Amino acid sequence: MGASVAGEDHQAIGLPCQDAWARWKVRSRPAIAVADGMGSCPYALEGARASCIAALHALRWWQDKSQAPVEPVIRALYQRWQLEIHPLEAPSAQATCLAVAQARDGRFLAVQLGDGLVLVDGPGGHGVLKTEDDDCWVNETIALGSARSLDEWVWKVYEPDEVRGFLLATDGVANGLDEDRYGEFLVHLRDIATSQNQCERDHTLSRQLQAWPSEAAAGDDRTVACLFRLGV
Amino acid sequence: MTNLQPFTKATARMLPVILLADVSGSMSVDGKINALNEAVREMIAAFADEVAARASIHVAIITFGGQARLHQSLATASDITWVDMATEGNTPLGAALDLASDLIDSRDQLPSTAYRPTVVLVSDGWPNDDWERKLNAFNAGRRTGRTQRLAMGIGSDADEAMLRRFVVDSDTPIFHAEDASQIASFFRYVSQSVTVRSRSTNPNILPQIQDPNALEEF
Repeated sequence: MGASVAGEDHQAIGLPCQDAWARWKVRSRPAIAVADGMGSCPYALEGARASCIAALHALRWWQDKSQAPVEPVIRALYQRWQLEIHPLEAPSAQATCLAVAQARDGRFLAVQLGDGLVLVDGPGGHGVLKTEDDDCWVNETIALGSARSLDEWVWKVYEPDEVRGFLLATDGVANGLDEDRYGEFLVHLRDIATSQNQCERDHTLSRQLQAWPSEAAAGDDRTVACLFRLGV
Repeated sequence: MTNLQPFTKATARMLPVILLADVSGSMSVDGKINALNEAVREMIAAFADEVAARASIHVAIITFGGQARLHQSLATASDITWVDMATEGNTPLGAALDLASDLIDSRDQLPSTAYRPTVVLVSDGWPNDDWERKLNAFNAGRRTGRTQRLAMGIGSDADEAMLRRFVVDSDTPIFHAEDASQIASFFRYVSQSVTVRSRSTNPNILPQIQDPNALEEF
């Protein structure tokens, strides 16, 4: 499930949400992606949408060949993003990229470029893909269109028994979440995911994101996408 | 209360403002230190009144005159009880930069969840300790080098070249106060730029720097 809502700052000036999210499921192998278009870029929304599309296309290759190295997947993702935004110049459409996909053998690949949150729900607790850079201040992020090398990406392959689910969130949500309550937040989202049909749960999530209560990230666009393994 | 309330932070993130204030003996001339005290007091009051902010403005003040001191430890503006700064001795900027580095590099005091700090340097003279090497290190530091800078020279004896090296960014103007009254204008500018940041979607972005010759507008 997933939802994306415009922050109050964009609403106030009549701009649309510049986050994007997408999901994809092919032959029972799911993938989700979220992206935050950089507000300083004139084509932030186009960049964010392209980021999600590119991520799902690139990760689809990995879903079929999960033993292959991840680096070519990342390169393919970037090249696909460049194609998706054409004829826009990359610096004008910068966007973060957070995505996760499950392969045919049951393993998961999570990738992240830039800020936001990839939260992994596992049987022994939860973890995050990318911890905050101690040398960086909040909201200072790299993105598609500004990243210069693979070193700026973070990725990890998870074995099936390590994972009960994933949460992806843009910084509008991540900055306002209490790190000590990540586990409870996952339980809350899992409850929504398991108690409602797809249309209802997207709507419920959207409604709750609209009523975002945190001062820590008030005004930002807010996007969440989740992938839960049911019955695990 | 919404359904997501229990999972979110109740407070806004920190937006730090660190003032490096020259309180050397020359600042006692022509009412400069009095004007500086009054201007900083007003700035802190303006920050404390800023209730619509997305970021919580925190202030620390490091003075350098005779020796460098942490005059005001990092605190929320509304929690600060102002004590006037006093003048003394020469201009040990390097030692003040050491104190600023210690503060900025401390993850306990400035977590990575804070917004990019603004560091403000005010001086009326020429530093006279090992400041050049320390300023180079400050500018090259992984955290200190990623702070936003504002600088004001007071009077005609201010070291323009040093202030220029401090702000680093060639597009950032150096502010000049010809007399004590313009000190207040500069700090009103600092107040306004920080409060604008604190309300912004991205408080890391410094508002466009005004023409330093138009400080009277503030």
